[in-house]
Amino acid sequence: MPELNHYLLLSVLLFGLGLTGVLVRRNVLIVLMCIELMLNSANLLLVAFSRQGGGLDGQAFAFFSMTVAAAEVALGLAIVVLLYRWHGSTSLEHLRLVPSQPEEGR
Amino acid sequence: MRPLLFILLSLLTLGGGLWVVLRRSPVDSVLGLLTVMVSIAGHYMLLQAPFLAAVQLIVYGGAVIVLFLFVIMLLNLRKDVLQARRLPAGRWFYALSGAAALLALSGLFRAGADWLPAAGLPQDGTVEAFGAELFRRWVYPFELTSVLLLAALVGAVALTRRAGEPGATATDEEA
Repeated sequence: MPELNHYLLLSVLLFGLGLTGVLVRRNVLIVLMCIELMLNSANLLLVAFSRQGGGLDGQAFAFFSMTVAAAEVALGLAIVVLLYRWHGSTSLEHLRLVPSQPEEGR
Repeated sequence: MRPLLFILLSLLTLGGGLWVVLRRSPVDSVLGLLTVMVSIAGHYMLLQAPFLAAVQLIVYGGAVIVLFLFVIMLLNLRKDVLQARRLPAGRWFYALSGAAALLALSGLFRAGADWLPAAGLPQDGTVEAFGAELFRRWVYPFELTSVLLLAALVGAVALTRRAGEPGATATDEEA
């Protein structure tokens, strides 16, 4: 029988993976996916705690979190499409949203 | 059997997560993400939250993954980006993880009766119990999520529509 500790460990590992991806990867699509990984690890923990404590509050929180995540993905991918149109790639490497020198601004 | 399933599902989850972070091609990462989503649905079954497991499969395993794939298709990325460093081991990873996920999930659903000893108790996350809780205690947040989803829908359409397309207003064309 898996205990709460095991779910804690799994969730922390998954969150760490997602965080590493957000910090390390330079493809904006993969960064979005890593944010999804982190959200999912939090959801898993919510459900595990809900199981431990009894009651359905944790599951309800996870449910709402999924809803927000779905909205976030829709908007995030719309921004990715805009970014690609404007910048021509999905790389964050040379992306600069704010001009470094204001007098150069177009 | 239950610890075994937990270990199997956890390996799938972490392996899929590693795949998302390490693979170069976004399509590969999406498939890793799918592995993670399906295995987390299995975890929800183990945690006696069958409703959330179904929602996880439908919303994440279905909608979100397909959305990612659609956007990758729309962006029309260069071939070398999509096929960078394709390892021959890749297809074995997919085959193995697919088989393992299928095994785990079918095991979960077939033997569900044995592993859901708390079925019928109020804290069990069945559709009935969860729905009752959702529409009593959480009814206002639940209704608010519809506003959120509508806002996301309108926002996504408004963001990605090009000015000058049919249906665009005068202010769009000026912008």
